[in-house]
Amino acid sequence: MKLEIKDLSVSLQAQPILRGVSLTVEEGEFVSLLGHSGCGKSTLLKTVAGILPPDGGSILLGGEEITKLPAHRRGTVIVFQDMRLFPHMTAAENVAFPLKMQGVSKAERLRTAEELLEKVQLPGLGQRRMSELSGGQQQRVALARALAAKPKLLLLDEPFSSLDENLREEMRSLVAQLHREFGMTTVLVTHDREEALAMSHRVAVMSAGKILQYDVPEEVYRHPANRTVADYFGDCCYLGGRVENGRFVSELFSCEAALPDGRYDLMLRAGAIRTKQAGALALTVRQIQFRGVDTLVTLEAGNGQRWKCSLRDCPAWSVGETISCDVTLDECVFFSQDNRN
Amino acid sequence: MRKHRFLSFVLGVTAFAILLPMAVMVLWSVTGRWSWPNLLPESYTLRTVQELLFGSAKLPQLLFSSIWLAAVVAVLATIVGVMTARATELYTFFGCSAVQAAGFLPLLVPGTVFATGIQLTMIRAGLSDTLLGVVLVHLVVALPYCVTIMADVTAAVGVRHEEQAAVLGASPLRAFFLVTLPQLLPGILSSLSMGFVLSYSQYFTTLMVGGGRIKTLALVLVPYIQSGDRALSSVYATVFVSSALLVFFLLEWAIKRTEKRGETQ
Amino acid sequence: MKKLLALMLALVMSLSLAACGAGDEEIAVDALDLSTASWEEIVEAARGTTVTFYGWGGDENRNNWLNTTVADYVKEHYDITLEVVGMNIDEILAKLSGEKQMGATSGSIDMIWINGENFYSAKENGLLYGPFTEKLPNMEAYIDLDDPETLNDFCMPIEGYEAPYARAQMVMMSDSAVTPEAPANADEFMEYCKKYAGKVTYPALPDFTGSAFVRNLIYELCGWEQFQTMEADYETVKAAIAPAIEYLRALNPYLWNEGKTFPDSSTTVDSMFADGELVMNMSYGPFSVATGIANGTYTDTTRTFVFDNGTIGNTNYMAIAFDSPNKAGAMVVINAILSGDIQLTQYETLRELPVVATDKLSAEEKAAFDAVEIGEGVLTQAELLAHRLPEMPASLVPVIEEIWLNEVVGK
Repeated sequence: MKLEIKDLSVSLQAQPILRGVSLTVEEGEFVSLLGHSGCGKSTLLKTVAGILPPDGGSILLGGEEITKLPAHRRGTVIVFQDMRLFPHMTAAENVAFPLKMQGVSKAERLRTAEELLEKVQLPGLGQRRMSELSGGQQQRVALARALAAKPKLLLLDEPFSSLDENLREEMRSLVAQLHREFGMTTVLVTHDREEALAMSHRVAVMSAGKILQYDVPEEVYRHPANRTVADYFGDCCYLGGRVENGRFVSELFSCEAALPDGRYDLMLRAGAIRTKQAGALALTVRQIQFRGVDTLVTLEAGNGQRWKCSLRDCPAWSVGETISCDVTLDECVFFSQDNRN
Repeated sequence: MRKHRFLSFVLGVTAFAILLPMAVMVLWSVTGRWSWPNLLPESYTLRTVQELLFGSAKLPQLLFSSIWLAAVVAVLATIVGVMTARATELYTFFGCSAVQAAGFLPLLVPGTVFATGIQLTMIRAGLSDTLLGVVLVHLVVALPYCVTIMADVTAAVGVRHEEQAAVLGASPLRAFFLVTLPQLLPGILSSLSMGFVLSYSQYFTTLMVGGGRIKTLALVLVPYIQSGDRALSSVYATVFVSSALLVFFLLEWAIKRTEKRGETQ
Repeated sequence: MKKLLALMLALVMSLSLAACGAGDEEIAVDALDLSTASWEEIVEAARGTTVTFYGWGGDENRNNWLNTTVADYVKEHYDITLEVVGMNIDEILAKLSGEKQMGATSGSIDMIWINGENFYSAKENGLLYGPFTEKLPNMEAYIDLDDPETLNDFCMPIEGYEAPYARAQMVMMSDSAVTPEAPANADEFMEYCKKYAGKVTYPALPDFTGSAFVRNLIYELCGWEQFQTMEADYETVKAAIAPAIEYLRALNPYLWNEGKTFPDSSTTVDSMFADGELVMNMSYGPFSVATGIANGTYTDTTRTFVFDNGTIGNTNYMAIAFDSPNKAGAMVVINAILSGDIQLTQYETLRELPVVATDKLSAEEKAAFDAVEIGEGVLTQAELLAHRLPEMPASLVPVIEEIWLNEVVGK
């Protein structure tokens, strides 16, 4: 169902955590809340689910005001990072729990539980106790249990961060598959930028209790609204300079820029730098780290500015060597220094 | 290997330190005379057993009333303990730490002073010499322990699972009973046992507030210890310890069984 | 889980029912004005009631005797239910003074087993009901009303506030197979302690028995008459018992642990004697050796002895609490205990010295008393009474205990 959050503010122990957050998630959409820990993204989730009371603002689900509704009547289910499976119940009982709350008969709910366990690829493990399941299996049970509640809104609070890398990948595709199949409106909280970019229809980048940018993944990545958002995706460095008469001029480099006059930072992603004979930039190789898929090279400009650059096919450079580079301008973003975020 | 040997040594010493006095106590309960330096009693007697079974103390009634009283106290103390612990551990409110500290006050006051003071209060409340009065006093004695036990367990269990249950559609009451309570069970078991033992072994408070009308095993046992009749005190102490142990085992067994039945549901 | 809940609820509910029921059982007999009522009216008023008797509960034989012999007797003759409650006198008095303080008019204690200092303080503080003994027919019928122990308790005038229950007398005991000699006076006792150095001691004061034993030695060395009228002044008492203090100090080196410490109670001394750690013991129960031999605690060769000059005897009594809910019933039960029948059973089963006056007994009753086999290792009633010395005033007892603590222990 469509979720609308309007000007929501929340405090915990008299500390403001969310400061006027507004967000709309369309029916069936998959949205990620991306941000560092402490930015308020989990708080936002808990407030939507009714676990935390807001100070102000309103929450609408399917056009209906639910701000004052107790958690158990909202139909918003959270899958927590620590899974919160009930240790005194079997896997099947865990999955059947929301059905029991809805008054479904015992036979019916156990049948549904088995079905859902099959959906999360745990067929026949219904009688297992929680302590007899691996971390990945527990995560699947938690997912199945959330699905059993037939939520109007599924809220995933960093559900994969406690898993190891391979398992995380598997779980992501399982969630994506389940989302396609059940089509329920989903909000994922994560600090993993690749996860957010790969899985979501739209990404909301949060910092200090506010949403900085809310857009489709490509836009958020390519055109960050400000330096905080840009920094979040990392691998970038900044060149300070001025724009005068439609041209950006810095110590190292200059190019065309259709901007009003003023002081600007030019954001350069690692990918924006290409080696080129007689290029505009002369950079010194400071460090080379082979990482398997790619090689991480640390380059330094004449003014001491360093940046890291991941290269798939790294030429046979040696540390201390000076190389000539050029900048691909369609990867660049200018931020006005006079109006810093 | 060395560690294991050390562990079994410690266990051995502990078992020896607990079991030897118990064995001596059981032996004393049928001893006529046992003078120094004999390793074993010189004469045995069944007078104690006879007194126990056919004497005027009416053992079955005594056991029944003691166990019943202790069970009521244990259950009430645990209910209050669960609720108090929930209030102080999961919520913060004005005077929260004062409530926590106040629970320990009965432990700080010397036993006799406490008993005399509470007797006056009970007379004023018209509860002196009544069962209800004795139950209340035992509750005051048992609560600090039961609340502490429940506070630790409650803090460990926390609200995480209740939050999860709530978002899955469980009302606060159902969330507590279906999700939190089963997890508190080990603590509840300890609290019940603690409350039981504390009530079961109360002597002075039972005497002062019960006025001797509320008869318990401790009330009969303690005078024999004071009068130095070692054989008779031993036979009563043996009954005292074994009846308490029996109740524990039954309690543990009952809870294990409910848990088992819960699993198959 | 539901079952557990149901169980809890059931427990709580049955508790509250029981609590409601507990209040109503007392029957109001106080409608009768006891000061003017005739004995027949009192007996009639007591019929069908319950009487509680509070006292020390550490003697299985006495508990049994009260619960069977006495309880059956009063049930049969007066339809009274006797409820015996074991409670130390300190706690009984604490409870009563609490009730007094709160202005309670109806408590739960009817009869109290009491004597000496406790009687003195209870009477002084108005915790006792009385006078009542002149109402009891058996006082006149069985008790020597001119006996000093009927008139005074530890030199304290009784004034009708308590009726005699049983007589106690300090006796000493040893195993004749271990120590053939039995000291008959203070000098012989000193020699005895020297011979069996480290194997004799007495309970640390203010233990009841230890205190009485020390008073007994004081009587030996300073005579007993002067104390009957002595003022309870520390210096006066100290001067009067100076020879005894000197003697006790001289005794110390030969006692257990060289008199640096003393066992904490008569209970401990009893156990040490039974265990053979001590060769001599002392008791307020004149026939306790017979009981000990019978139940196997003491060897068959254990013997009772007293000093030639005599040992302290006292009587313990029955009183009625000021707020007794059933004073008429208590009076009827006390009267019954004074009867020859009950005193005979007390002598027979508890081996306690009876309080009845021999010359007031019928020939039949007399023969029954004489026929009692008191058991092994004890002195006869006649021998005991011939060596019986009166107690000193209750107020002197704590003074002597204080002097002993300051001047004797560890000196």
